[in-house]
This record gives sequence, structure tokens and C-alpha cells, in this order.
Amino acid sequence: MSGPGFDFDAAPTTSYVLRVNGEARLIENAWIGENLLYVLRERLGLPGAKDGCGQGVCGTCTVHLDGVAVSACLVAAATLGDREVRTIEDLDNDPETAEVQRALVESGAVQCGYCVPGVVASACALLARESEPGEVEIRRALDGHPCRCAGPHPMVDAVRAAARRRAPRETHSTMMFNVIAPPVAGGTE
Amino acid sequence: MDATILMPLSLDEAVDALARDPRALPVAGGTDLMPRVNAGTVRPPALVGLAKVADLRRWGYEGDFVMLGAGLTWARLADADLASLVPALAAAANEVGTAQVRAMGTLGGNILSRARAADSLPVLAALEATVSCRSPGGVREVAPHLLAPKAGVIAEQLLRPGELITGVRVPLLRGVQEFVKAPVGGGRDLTLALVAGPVVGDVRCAVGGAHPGPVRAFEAEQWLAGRMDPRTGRLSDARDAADFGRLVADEVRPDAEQRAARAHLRHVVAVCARRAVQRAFGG
Repeated sequence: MSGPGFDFDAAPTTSYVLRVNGEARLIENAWIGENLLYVLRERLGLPGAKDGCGQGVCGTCTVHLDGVAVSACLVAAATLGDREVRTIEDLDNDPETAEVQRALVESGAVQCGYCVPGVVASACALLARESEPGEVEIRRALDGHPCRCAGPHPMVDAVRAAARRRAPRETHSTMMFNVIAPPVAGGTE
Repeated sequence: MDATILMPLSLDEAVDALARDPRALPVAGGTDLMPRVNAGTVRPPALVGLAKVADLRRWGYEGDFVMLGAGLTWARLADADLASLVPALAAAANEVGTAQVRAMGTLGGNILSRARAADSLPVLAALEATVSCRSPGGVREVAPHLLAPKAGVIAEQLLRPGELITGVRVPLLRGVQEFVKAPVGGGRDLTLALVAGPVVGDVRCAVGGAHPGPVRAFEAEQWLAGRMDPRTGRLSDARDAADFGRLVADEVRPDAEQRAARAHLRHVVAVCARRAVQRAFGG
């Protein structure tokens, strides 16, 4: 489903540089319609993101694009330009990721495991953006992961647990900072 | 041989690239194009990537209007600042697909979506916004609420070959804006946007998903405006919401192959319209 299932010789191709996991990788003579998931798995040997539906529904192919969780199967890889892709293989090096993974196991959110790399990618993107997300925020961030084994609730519990475990480290300094400089309303566009 | 991938750096370059090769498909988020490419129903001969055109992702005020760049994502449109300017669009953005799709899918791509599920269109039709279509010859403003929604593919009515949607001009309105979305089976949704300014006695209602394009219910709108107390902005009767729902369903006449499905869609339109009025006016 992901690759070109037709006459390879007639298909328009191109070569480009893709920034993946901190490295610039050269993709040569690739069909222009290849999605990012296909390029990651079949050309770059990064099988962590899974091929599920190819329609952006199942969330198993979730990767980070400039730090935001996206469906790799919906991204036209050749048009990414200098945007930075991070896959679960590289996210796995962060200690924060290990916490999320441990919380998922402890909450009983891991059964068949097929959707888990995507869930971890989404959870890490959420926690990087928002250190103490509320329940609604967590559910919205995970609404692209229809897990049919464990259901949605254990993974929501897991993200909340991972956030709680992480939060105390910052509380003290953040409180002090707020006393000295209250946050300014508005902001820059 | 023509280039198969172009990555323009500005609006002018993007428009020139599309004019030179009208077969080339513009790609922003990819969330509408790639499912069809993955399923093998579309084989793009060439792509124009819009990732580097920063102008598409800007927004700003223009008198009593807000200009929203076509490259703004659903996630961005749902942010608090833009949500306070155009609440109905933010409400629609919040109900699109999944978090991963909202992070990539753009306003311009949704307007051109082949599916009937162009959730932005009923909102733009109710707001009487205009879409800016740019070609090397200049910019053409098209109003989605003035198209022929029952006459066929809306993207073809809206955009001429070689044109690029650069943004949307939305009037800044006082009053309430509601958006209601309901699944109607087969992966399809019915959408309804209601804009009501109780002070000026103005009501506008557009329905998406019932026909190829967004359908305005002009007669029902007028009826409801007449039921509003001009001083309080309240409705005269608690049953007005349900009556409005029936009037909208009569006027929109949803289109489906089977008679049973048509009856169901009619019912859903009526319920969505009633709920939108109840949320807007209370009760």
C-alpha cells in the first residue's frame, strides 16, 4: 500500500536530502509519491514506525516532525524540505521516553504492541509541549491512536502518571520564577 | 525533462510553478492528497511543495476582516487567539480527524478537498468569507456561499487550473458562531455552521456533507431572524429551534442514492440545526 505498485520505469522520480534523527540522509531516484513512512522503513531501515492503514486513521506510523506528532503515511517525503524528522528509534534515547514506556507497561496499556511506538511518539510530543497536561488535553493528543486491545483509558492513565513523575523536578524553580517575573499576556506571532 | 518536485520559496514562485505545469499538484500538509496516492487512485506527475512558502502561514487584520493564510493548520486555527476571532472555524478545527491530521492538514487543502468532508466550507459559507485564488495574472476572490453547491465538484467551481489558494478573507462578526458535526455512516459526516448576530437580527446557516458543496438555507435564516426579539436577541418561542431544524432540512434536501438514506440525512440536518440554535440562543 505504501510503495509504488505500478510501472516503476514510467514513474516520475527525484533525489533529495531528508533530515532524519539529526542526520542528513540522501534519498536517490525515489518516486515522488512515496510517503515518509515508506522512505523511513524501506529506504532508511527504520522500521519503528508501523504501516497500518495508509490513510492516516490508525496512528501506528506516528513520528515527530519539528517536534510535533504527525502521521508519516500522510507526509509526501520529497516535499519536506529542511523539516526535521524524529522517529521512535531516536526518541528511544531520551530518558523521558523511557518514563512514558514504563508508565504504559505499568498501566496495562501494552498488549499486542503494534500501536505502541506511535502512542509513545504522541505522548512524548505532548509532554514536551505541556509538562502537566489535563485529561482533555491527553485524550485529544491521543485521539489518533484507536488501540483495540487495551482501549484508550490505560494509555491516558499512563501519560498522566508519566507527567506526574516528571513534574516535581521543576515545580520549585518554576514557582520561584513566577514570583520574580509573572508571565506576560499575549505573545509574538 | 521537467522538474518533478519544485520547492518554491515565495507565493510568486509557487504560482509561477503551477502556471508552468498545470498538471503539478500543490502539496502543503498532504493529509488530503496522500491517502489517495497511497491507495493508488492518484499518480502525481509532479509536485509543488509549499513547505517553504512562509507567506501561506501568516494571518493578519485587514480593516473589518481577518486574512487567514491557506497554509495555517487545523491545530493553529484552534489556538486561542484565532479561536477568539473566528470561533466557528476553531470549533470545526477541533473536530477534524486526529491530532496527527490536525497538526498537518491546512485550511487551503481542506477547501480543495475532493471529499464532501470539507469541514471549512460550511463555516466559510455561513461567515460569507471569500477565498483568494492567485495566478500569475493576479488574485481572484471567490465566495463559497455564491457557488452552485448541488451542481458538482466544488473545487472545480472554485479554482481554475494553475491557480493557488493563498488565503481566506473572513469578516470579523459580533454575535454567536456555532458548528455542529454528526457522523452519518460510511465514514461521512454532516456539518452545519450557524452564525447569528442577535443585535442586528441576522442569521446565517450553511450545511456541509449533504451536497458536493456547502448549502445555505436562506429562507430558514430569514424565518429565524424574524422570530428574534430585536431588543433582547432571544427567540419568541421555545419551539422555534425545532421548527428551524425542519425548515433547514426542507430547504437543503440532502442528496443520497437511497431513499432511506435521504430520509436519515434529512433527520440529521434537522437535529444539527436545532442543536445549533439551542446552543446559540439557549434553551
